[in-house]
Amino acid sequence: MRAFLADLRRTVLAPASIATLLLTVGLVALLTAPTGPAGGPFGGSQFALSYEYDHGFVFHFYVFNATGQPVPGANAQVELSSGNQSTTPAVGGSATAGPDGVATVTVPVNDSNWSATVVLMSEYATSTFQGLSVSMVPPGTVVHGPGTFSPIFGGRYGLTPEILLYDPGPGGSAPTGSTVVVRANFTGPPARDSVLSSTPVSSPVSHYSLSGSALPLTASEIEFDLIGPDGSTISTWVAPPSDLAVLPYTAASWGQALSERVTFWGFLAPLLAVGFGYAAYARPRGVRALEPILALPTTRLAVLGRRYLSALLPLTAATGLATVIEFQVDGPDPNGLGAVLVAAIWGSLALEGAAFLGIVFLLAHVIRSAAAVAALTIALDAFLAYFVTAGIWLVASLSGHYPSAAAINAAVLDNPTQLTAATVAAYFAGLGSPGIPARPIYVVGAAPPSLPSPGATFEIVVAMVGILAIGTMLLAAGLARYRD
Amino acid sequence: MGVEFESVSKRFWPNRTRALRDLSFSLEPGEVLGLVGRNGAGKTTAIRIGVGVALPDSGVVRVDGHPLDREKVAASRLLGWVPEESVHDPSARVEPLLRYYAKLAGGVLPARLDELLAVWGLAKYRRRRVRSLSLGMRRRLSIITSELTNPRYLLLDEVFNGLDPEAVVAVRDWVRARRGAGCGLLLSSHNLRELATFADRVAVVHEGRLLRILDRADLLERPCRVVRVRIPNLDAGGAELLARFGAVELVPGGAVVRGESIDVPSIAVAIVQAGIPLHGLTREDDGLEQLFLELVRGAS
Repeated sequence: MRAFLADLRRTVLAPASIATLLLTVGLVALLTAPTGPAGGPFGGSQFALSYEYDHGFVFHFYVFNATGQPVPGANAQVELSSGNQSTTPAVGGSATAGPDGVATVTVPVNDSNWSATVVLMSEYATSTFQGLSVSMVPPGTVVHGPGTFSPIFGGRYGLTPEILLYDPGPGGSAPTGSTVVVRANFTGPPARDSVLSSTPVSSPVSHYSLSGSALPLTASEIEFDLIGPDGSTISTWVAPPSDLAVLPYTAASWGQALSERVTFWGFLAPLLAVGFGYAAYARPRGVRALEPILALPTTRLAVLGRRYLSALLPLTAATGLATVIEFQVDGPDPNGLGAVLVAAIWGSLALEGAAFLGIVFLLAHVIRSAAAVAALTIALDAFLAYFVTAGIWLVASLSGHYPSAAAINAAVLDNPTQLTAATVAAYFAGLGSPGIPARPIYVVGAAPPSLPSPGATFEIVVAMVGILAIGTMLLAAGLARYRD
Repeated sequence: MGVEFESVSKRFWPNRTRALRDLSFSLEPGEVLGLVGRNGAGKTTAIRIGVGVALPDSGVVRVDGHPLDREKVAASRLLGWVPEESVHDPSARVEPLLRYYAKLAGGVLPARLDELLAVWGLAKYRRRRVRSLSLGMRRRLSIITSELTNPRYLLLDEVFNGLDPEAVVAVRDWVRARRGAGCGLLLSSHNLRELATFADRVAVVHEGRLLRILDRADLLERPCRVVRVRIPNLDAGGAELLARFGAVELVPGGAVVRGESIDVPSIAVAIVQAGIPLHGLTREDDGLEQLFLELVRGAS
């Protein structure tokens, strides 16, 4: 124990570790600081778009940031160009989003077919759609433009279950007097359902809280019904249950904010592993500083194990701290699953960090230069972060499971954590083609339906951490025989 | 008892260079065993394997019966290592680094550490970073590290290299003191004359193989082949006298006599009896060097 504490102290106080910790603190501060309407440099802004024709084209932008908050002050621009630009000059207009995040741009034209370029500029991000074909439609008709969000339901989950409605009315597409009914269906046992709210829609952007139900919301199916004034159902959207409350990316963006941040941390966790692994092992090995230690009364495996753990511990602490700050910043989840969700995210990041730490250790055995080890590991992280979508299918198919293209696309698998999660999920689900259903795998805990509870998912995460850690250590110990 | 190398072989990955081939010898308690060989002969590899820093592909090293591969902790408690190059973290400070080593070594009393720092002249450098130390100071740091466990055997790799005269004397005294205390020392060196003054036996390695182990008798019984005679104003008569013992080459201040087996005492007696003022008589060839060259050239 004394030896481990000595190793831990040396690792944590190494310049590379301190720089890594400062990097983490800085990024968490940047992510969580309320530095602007978009919620910080990483917030970005997105928008849903619809237009109608009423003596001119009227474009409605619904602007919100990555956490689903409206972005007042964002500037929306529209430029219309006709097919014959030599005879018909381009026309356009702009508007600024109000407190509710809605910007309405009116471009008065009297003839029909145009190609529109719409540009949204918020403080930190610019989004552009070019070549959007627009045409005159009967007054009152709403046409929904391109975007990643449902024409009716947009939303966010975060840790405060809440739905944002974009474009109901008045002023939106639903007639005055429409009502939104939110219902939770819990398949049990025992099966129960409850109506969470029934609220008249009164503006283009409305918030509805999902809290107040005694049912476990994140294990329940959430149904949203837009009911017209005559009692008919205008639109229905059902969010399937997820034991970790991660809901589909398609249609409304429940869980998207969560996904974006997990993706970011999924990329960052390996960088932390590089920093701590460099301090604990790659650099000492590069300068041969481990040799006098190996000559002392200790074993090679003990040295390796202590160094690995002395890097894993601060890495786990740093990702844990970051996760808590990042995902609890909006307050705890009212139905009590917030802690499980945060723990699962933390576990997945620790798992990914442990794996990358193993990679750093393994590379350090083959390559003497610690800088080269760090560079290669960072390159691998970037590669996995951006090119892994094809890899997921390959990995899953090698184990006899064939996730559908829709599943892959919907899941937006783009970091190693999610790759691991999907593989584990496919394995435990035992699903053949079409494989993983088109449901999200934003977080490692997006377990298949056959897994009964969040607890099981969490146990899998913990088990995977252990298995990977032990595996990488044994591999590293084996490779050590090939050097020196 | 002792440090026993049993058929130790080692190849280096990835080009599979054979560093050691079935190397077997033993170091006894209380003896100084020299380890000589050309560059790349495998001396450093043998020592690194002997202290557990490197792993053999086959064979085993036993320390007082403890196999190093299976009973590393028990074996390493009996071993100390002074590497040829500094292998300490260059950014670490001297005293914290030694305290860290001491913790890993199972605990060393602070008073012992202070004593070692004082004895080896590092007390005033205890807050200095390793990279700022001179080569000699870093070697002293390695010696202190090797002494942390108060080992029964010391494996020293080119321990005299790059040291100033004062440090050479200090290390020489240390080696003698440790041998006097019953410690066995394996001492690799290119300085065969220095080694010849210490070693009880000398192991000659060549291309990873043990060629021969020489004992004191081998070293002392070598015939003398070169003698330098210091006689100011050596005249023709003197040169003729010396020619009876071998080929004479006149040099400033005297002559050099070369032969297959020169009887050095007889030269001295003859010069004195002839009334020639003799200022010095030095055996110039080195028995160990000669023997080493013969062995290595023969093996090549």
